[in-house]
Amino acid sequence: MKKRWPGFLLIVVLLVLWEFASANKMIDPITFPRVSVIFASWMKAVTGTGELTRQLLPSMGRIFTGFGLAVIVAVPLGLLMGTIPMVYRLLEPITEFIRPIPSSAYIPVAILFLGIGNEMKVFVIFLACMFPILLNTYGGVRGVDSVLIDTGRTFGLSRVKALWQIILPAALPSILTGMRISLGIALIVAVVAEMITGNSGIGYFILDMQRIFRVPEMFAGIFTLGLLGFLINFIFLRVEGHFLRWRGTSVET
Amino acid sequence: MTITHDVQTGVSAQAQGKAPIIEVRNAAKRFAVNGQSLTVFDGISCSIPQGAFLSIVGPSGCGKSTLLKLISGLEAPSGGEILFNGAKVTGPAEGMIYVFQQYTKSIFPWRTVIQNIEFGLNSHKKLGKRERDELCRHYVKLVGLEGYEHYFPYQLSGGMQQRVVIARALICEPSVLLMDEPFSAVDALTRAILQELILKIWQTIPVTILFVTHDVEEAVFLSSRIISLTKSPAKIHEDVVIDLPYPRDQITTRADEKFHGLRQQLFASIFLQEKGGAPSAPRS
Repeated sequence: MKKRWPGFLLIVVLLVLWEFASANKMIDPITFPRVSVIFASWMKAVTGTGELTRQLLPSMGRIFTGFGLAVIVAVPLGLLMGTIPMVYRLLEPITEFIRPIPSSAYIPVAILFLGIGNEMKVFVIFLACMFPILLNTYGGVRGVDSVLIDTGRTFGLSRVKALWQIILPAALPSILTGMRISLGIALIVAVVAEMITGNSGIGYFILDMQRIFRVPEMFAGIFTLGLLGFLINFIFLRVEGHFLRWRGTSVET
Repeated sequence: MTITHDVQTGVSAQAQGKAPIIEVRNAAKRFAVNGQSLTVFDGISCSIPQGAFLSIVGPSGCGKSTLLKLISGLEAPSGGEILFNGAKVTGPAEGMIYVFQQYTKSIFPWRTVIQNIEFGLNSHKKLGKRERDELCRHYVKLVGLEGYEHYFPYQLSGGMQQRVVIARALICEPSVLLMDEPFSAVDALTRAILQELILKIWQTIPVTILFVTHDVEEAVFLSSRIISLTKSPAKIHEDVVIDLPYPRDQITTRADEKFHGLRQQLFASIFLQEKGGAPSAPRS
């Protein structure tokens, strides 16, 4: 953490510049309100009226449900694809076909099937999170060194035990990378889905504030997203660092 | 601890034909390379008596590691058969542990020293936690890793990692230890220390060791018997009994006239064969 202060200082400098430019009308103060104004409305929306906090919770609920389901499905599936060639040959083409489609593109389809409610959003987040985890899991499994596998064999480990005791931990760094990528995507997809068909959530809040021209609140929503993304990543890196402490190289930020 | 190798008579007991623990009968191994069949060896036969410290030496690429893999059951022979305690080897057999040359790839980086060693107990024993802990501690001590129990492999030197791998193999009390150039990747001094360690272990524990190396001197220092292989397709070139007395140590054994004689004789034979000048090298 010690060497990160220049980066944080830059953020502060940019915010001060923004404040100054907006106050002196160098940028349009209506579309770019002063940072202090944005901060004041952020404080009000969070602690006062609570309208921002109210919208944050459903968003986070969706993100973690969709992400959690993706982990539950993609990790075992990836392990199967990585260890059983038949399963790999069966699922690899369809994976490669669906994967390049931007996740926001299946929102219209999901609306047809699941309506505009919470289920649709969770489903879309789930689908978007699936592929990075799946790909990184089977990639990690296929990358496990054959010496490690043979070590298990010479000790008479059963295939199931080898999966649990050797393949899973050896592929864990890769699996965690996939999960981290997915968390970032989950945030994007949640916001997009909420903007398209929203009556709750941070994405809906941002769009709603823009429509009724409460620009400071709109920015407050955007900054909240930035903060949320930062926090999620920070916590995840901590968790990752704990699970991968045996690697020696620090992955903490 | 019982000493099962009577150090003076170990060699003669072999000569008298102690029951073989491993028999290799007409073993062959062929690989398909670019659609062509490549014969590593064909028709290798030998018998390894219980309690032996047998080294297999030969030029690199002659198939000595492949032979060891076949014996371990990790790979299947293309022809012939391997018998372990009289039973045909069809897969990794309980009682034989293969120690890989690439210890850095064989050690579990996510397990600490003690957890790595405990892995050896995994599928062989149903033990209580206390017994497991005691056994682990015993083997930690045997390989001299006290104080490092809770270190992760990345925090250890190569020699220490190799000790972990050896302890992990020994804890399941194998009757045969198959070691594939285990000390080739550590520095000379560490190698000398590990060589003495493995000799000490072999003299303390009833275990037969098959040791693959390209280092003739190492083989002479350690073994009760040495088999040398020719270039691929490999045949058994020499089968020599090393009748240097045990216990051996780096200082006195290496100073022994007999040690030098055996080393020189074996080296000359392998060298000439490798160069292609020896009449015993089969030519086609």
